[in-house]
Amino acid sequence: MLEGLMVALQPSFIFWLTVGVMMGMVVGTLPGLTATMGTALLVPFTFALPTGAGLAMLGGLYVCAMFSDAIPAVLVNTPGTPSAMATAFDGHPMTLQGRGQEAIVAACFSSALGTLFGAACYLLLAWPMMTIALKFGPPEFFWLGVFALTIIGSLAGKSVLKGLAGGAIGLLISSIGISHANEVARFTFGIPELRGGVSLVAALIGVFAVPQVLSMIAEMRKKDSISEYKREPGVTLKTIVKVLSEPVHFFRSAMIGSFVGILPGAGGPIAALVSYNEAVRWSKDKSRYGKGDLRGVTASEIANNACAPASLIPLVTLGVPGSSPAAVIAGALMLRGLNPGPELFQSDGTLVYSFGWSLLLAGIMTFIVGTLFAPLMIRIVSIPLRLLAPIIFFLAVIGAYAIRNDIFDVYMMFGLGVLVFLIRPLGIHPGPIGLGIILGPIIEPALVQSLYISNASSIGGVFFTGTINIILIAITVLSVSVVALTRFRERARERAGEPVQAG
Amino acid sequence: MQKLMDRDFLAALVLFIIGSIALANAGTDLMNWAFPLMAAYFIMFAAAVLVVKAVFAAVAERAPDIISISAEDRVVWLDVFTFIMIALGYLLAMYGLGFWLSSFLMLSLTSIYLTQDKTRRSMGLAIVVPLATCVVAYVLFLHVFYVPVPKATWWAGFG
Repeated sequence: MLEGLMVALQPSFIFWLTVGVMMGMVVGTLPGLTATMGTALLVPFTFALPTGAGLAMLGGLYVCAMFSDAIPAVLVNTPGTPSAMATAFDGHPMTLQGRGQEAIVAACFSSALGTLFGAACYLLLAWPMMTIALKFGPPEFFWLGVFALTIIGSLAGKSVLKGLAGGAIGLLISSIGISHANEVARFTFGIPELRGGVSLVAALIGVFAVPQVLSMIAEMRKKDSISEYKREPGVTLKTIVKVLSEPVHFFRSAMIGSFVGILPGAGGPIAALVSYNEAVRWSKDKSRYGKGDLRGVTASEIANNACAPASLIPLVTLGVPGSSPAAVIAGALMLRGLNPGPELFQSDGTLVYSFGWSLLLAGIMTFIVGTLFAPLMIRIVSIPLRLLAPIIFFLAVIGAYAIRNDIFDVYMMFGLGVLVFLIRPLGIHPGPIGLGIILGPIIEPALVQSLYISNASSIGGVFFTGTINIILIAITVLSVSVVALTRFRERARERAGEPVQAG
Repeated sequence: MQKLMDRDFLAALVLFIIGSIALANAGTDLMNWAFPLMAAYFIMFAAAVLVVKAVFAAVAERAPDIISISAEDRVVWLDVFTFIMIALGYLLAMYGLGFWLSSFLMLSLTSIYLTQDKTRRSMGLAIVVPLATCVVAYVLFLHVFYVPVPKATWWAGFG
C-alpha cells in the first residue's frame, strides 16, 4: 500500500491528476455533460500516459465532476449531473438568500471530505464491504429504491399527496420505452424515438433547468438578477468550521455514500438522496430543510463524493463496476490488457493502491481548485436575468443533445420542462418528479426480477424475508411515520395559530 | 383580478388527464405493466382525493385557495409565452439554419426582447454576450468535448 502512495506522490502523477480535476470541473459544471461522458472522452488521451497516471487522470475527473455538478445546482437550480439533484434542494435557496458562496464552499469542502472517506474505504475496507454488498439481490434493491422514495415527504412542499403524485408522474416517465421484462413497447404512442426510452439526463435537465429559465423570465420584471453578489471575507474558514462541527452528520452521510457506492447500479444520485433523507430524518429541526439549510448541501455532497471512490471497490475486487464512470475506467484498463478484479489485486497491487491514493489526492485537489474558483463562480448570480436565462436554456439544449446526439431528447427536455413549469403553481413540484425519474430505472427492474424469483417460491418469501430486507422495510416505515408525524404536528400548530383558515 | 379555479381541483384535473392517458395506453400483462399501472392508479387516486378535499372545503365553507390572474401576471405570461415561442422556433430551425447560427439568433432575439430598458449599451450587450457565448461554446463543445451538433441543411457553411 505504501508503495502505491509513493507512486501516487510522483510529480507526473500529481500533474495528470490535476489535469483530470480541471477537466472534471468543466464537465460537472455544464448540465448534460456527465462524469461518464467526461471519463469516456478522456480515455484516448490516457493511452499516451503510463497506466497509473492515466487512471489518476480519469479518477481526478470523476471525483471533481461529483463536486462541480453542485455549482449550477446551487447557483441556478440546475443540477450539473443527476447526483447533484439533492444538493439543489437547499443549495439554491441559500443562493436566493445571498449565501451562494457559503453553499459552494460547503459543497466543495464536504465533497473533499466525502472523497477522502470513500478513498479510505477503497484502501482499507474493500473486501469486508464487498461481502455485505454481495448480499444485495433484486428484492433488496427494490426496498432500497422504495426507501429513497420516502424523501418525497421532505420535497413535497405543502401537500404530501401532490408530492407523491409528482413522484408517480416521474415513475411513469421513466417507464416510457421498451419494458424490462419482455421487451414490450410502453407509452410510445407510435413514436419510434420513444422506444429507446427517455434519456435520464435530458429529462432531468427538462424538469429542473427549463422551469428555472421560465421562472427567471417570469420574475425578470421584479428583480434584475438571481441575487446580489456580496463579497464575504472569511466565508471559507467559517463554512469549514460549520461543516466540521457536525461530525455525526458527516460520518452518517459518508457511510451511506460509501455503502451505496459499492452497490452496482445504484450510484451517486441514490447515495445523495438517501443521505439527504436521513439527514432530514435525524434532524431536530426538520422544517429548515429545503429552505437553505447548509446540512442539506453537505449531506448530498458528502454522500455522492464518498460514492465515487467506493463505486470502484467492486471493480477492483470483483471486476464489476459500481457506476457508469467506473465502467468506463474498467474499459480503459481492459484496453491496456489488464483485467479488473481479484487477479489485478494480486498481479499489480501497486497499481490498484496507487489508484486509491490518487483518488484520495483528487479529493484534496478538488478542494483547492474549488475554493480558488468559488469566488469567481458566485458572480454568476449577479448576471442580469435577461442575459442569463437564454444562456441557461442554450446550455440545457446542448446538454440534452450531447447525451445521445438525438434532437428528440431536446424536444422531450423542452416539452417536459414546459409541463413542469405549468403544473408547479398547482403544488406539484419538480423535486418529486425528478426523484421518480431517477428511481424508476432502479426500482422497476428490481421489482420485475423479484417477481420472477417469486414464481419459484412466494412473493412474501422474496420481499419480506432476509435481514437486509427487514431492515430496509423497517427504516422505510420509520421514515414515513416520522414524515406523517411531523406533518400532523405542523398542521396542528397551524390550526392553533390560524383557526379560521385551517384545512 | 380574474379568478380561475380552486388550486386542488385544477391539480386533480391535471392528474386525472395524466392518469387517464397512462391507463388508456397501458397493457394488462403483469410483468410488463405492473409498475406503470401502479403509478397510474396512484395518480388517479391522488386526483380523486384532491376532488373530495376541494368539495369538502366548499361544503365546510373554508377559505378557498383560488388561482387568479392579475393584469401584471398577464404581462409576465406574455413574456414567458414569447420566450417559449422563440425557443420552439429555435428548436425547429436548428436543422435548417445550423446549430450555431440558430443559437446565436435565439440568444440575441430573446436577450433583446427581455431587455426592458432599451439603451444603446443594453442592446449592445444583448448582441455581444450571445456572440461571446456561442464562440466559447463552439470551442468547448466542438473542439474539446467533440459534440457533433446539427449542421445547416438550408445553406452549407453555417454548420
